[in-house]
Amino acid sequence: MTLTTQLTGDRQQDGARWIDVAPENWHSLHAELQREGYVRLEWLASVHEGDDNFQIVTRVTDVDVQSPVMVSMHCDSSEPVTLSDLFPIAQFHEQEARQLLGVQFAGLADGVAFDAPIAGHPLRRDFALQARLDKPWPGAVEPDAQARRRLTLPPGVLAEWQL
Amino acid sequence: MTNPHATIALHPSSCTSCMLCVRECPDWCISIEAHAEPDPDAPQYSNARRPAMKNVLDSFQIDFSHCLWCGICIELCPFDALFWSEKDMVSGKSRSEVVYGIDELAASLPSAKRLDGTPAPQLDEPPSGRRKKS
Ligand code: SF4
Ligand code: SF4
Repeated sequence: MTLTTQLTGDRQQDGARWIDVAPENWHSLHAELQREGYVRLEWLASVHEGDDNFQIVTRVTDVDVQSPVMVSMHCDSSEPVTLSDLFPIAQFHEQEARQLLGVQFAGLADGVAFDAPIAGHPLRRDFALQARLDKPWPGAVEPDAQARRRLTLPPGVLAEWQL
Repeated sequence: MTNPHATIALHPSSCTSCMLCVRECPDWCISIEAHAEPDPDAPQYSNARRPAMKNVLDSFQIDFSHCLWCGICIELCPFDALFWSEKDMVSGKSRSEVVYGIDELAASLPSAKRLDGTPAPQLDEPPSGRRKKS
């Protein structure tokens, strides 16, 4: 399948075709894939990469769920455009990303994925998890107190969270 | 049906208290207490600044109320001290019942397997992962 939308990357990996695309082509690429028969959006996932950088990935397949295509873009929190007009299921995943990561999708309907009060955006890397503050890190134990080793720090816990 | 990943077993004498599993567990559910003492089996060098030490495990706990059964601790243990075990799934009425210490973790050894499917060492067997003294 040759695509007319401009791609920034196109490779075969782990049995799927991986396509990278710029944020401005995100919607048009998915529209083109849908016209080509890729009518199932299996999921849309968002990852926080620090500061205001996010990666958003979708997996789309044809009706036979064969030859999956993974589409990925790197964007900031205000660049994405909703895919919910093409694939209704995208609404849930995008509302989830908005609620948990603070990514805004232009054109996405109001509403929340999880009907529970969530303060802040807990899936962002800079979100201080209460569980990480309440309990001392068990890895700080050093059995041989005389051994001069580099101080180990808990992974994923930012220095400014430490009280 | 048996679940090959029902619980985690520890072979205590294989554990060198290296702390790797404690530090890599994504849920912080392993905790270890250990101390170091001079290793009588180590070669003695006259010019050594201090005697060769070895860590001695005092307590090893896995809090299964947090464990994700991700298996990271089992896969990364460089000394083959942790294993998946088929023993009954961990359960209990309170949190303290699902915090397993050395004895409970070692009790899961009889049905524990290495990642390659061979049986894990038993309590009375020597450490599995360390080089034998020549
Ligand atoms: S990684 Fe293995 S040897 Fe190291 S502390 Fe954990 S169980 Fe013991
Ligand atoms: S299996 Fe449990 S104890 Fe082991 S690393 Fe994963 S969460 Fe921690």
